[in-house]
Amino acid sequence: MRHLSDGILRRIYDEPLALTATDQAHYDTCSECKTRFQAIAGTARTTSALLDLPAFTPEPVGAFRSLRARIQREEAARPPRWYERWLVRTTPRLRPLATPAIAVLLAAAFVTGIAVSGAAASLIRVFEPNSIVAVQVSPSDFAGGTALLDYGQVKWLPDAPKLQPLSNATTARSQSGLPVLVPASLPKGVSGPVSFGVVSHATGSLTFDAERLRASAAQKGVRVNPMPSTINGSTLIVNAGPALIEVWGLSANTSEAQIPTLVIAQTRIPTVDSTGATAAQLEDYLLSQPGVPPEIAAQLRAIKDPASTLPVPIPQGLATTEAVQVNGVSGLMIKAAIAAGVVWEKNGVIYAVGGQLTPDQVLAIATTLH
Amino acid sequence: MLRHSGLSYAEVATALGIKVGNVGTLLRRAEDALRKEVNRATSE
Repeated sequence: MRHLSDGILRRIYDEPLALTATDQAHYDTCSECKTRFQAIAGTARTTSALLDLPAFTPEPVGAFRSLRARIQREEAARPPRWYERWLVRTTPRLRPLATPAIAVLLAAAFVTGIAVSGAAASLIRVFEPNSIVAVQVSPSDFAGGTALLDYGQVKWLPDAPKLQPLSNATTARSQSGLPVLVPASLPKGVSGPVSFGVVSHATGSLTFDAERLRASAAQKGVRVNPMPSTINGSTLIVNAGPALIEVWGLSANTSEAQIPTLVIAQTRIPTVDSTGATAAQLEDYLLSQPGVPPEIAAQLRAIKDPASTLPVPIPQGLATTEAVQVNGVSGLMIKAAIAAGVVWEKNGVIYAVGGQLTPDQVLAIATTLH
Repeated sequence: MLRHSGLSYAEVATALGIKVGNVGTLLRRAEDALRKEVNRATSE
């Protein structure tokens, strides 16, 4: 069979459930298409990050009109640039979109300080999950203060991700860029209305600083291992979101306890790139810190490929897990006394369905989402 | 711009008068052109 086109692979990024069964079957078994998808998704992520300008709200119809007029004026005043000549040869319909979008990108690069070319060439991808594994944790594991230490300078571009509550499906889809998913039917006990939450896409960075960590540990009276030179000065760049959360069963009366009966969540897979330290160096150092519980460190070290595995914390003694098949991929079923949930990754998106339901009910919802 | 404003592929296709199947192709080419242009601009 022929490989999937760039256009189909690009659509997987935006509309992961729109693939035909034939295309999905090819994609699932084709390493070449998956590699091409990673590159296409990377470019799409970069474009989204650059367009996430503070206080920048695209208004497509007005922008389209004004920019078309601007391009016509500019065309009369100067010879076409190389990319316009290229676009004219290949996709004439795209031409009105090109120049303004490039202007926006250049402005975004200027404002955010992202050096796309030089930095991208030397970045090491240290985390991009495509499988999920359970990690047993207990509340006492996090009683220590090591996790709150200052490991270095943190920046968010444009802002730290935050949850925005919404009541409208159309707005939720528009703001997240993800499709609003609906199960074929709702089990007994689950009814509307549905509340929505959107977490916007965000790019963040952490630049490790040995001196800041040492000072922070001294201030808190905590012992830490000195930061090795292979990590000190390295920057981790995190790409996270957007995420879309749909919640059933929330009461309009906010004074009551808010326990949802069903939650459907989806987010694009997060990625972490490093300017220097490798995944193995980071794992060795961070898991060897005195405050990290040995049981958790052992579980994380046992993960064969930590760069592509998403650990999901499971409260010890309160829930159990088992591997299940969901929509043609491996998923993780989480079972508790009165609730259940399932998590899986497909086509670059992590999905989760859970609630006050049985595992069979959760699986029935997960497999009929559309 | 239309896609990054939150429109679905079907809505972008309607707005531009093209087939849904062509939206991904145009978007991919546009983003690739933008990436190259930004790379060129930032490396100058």
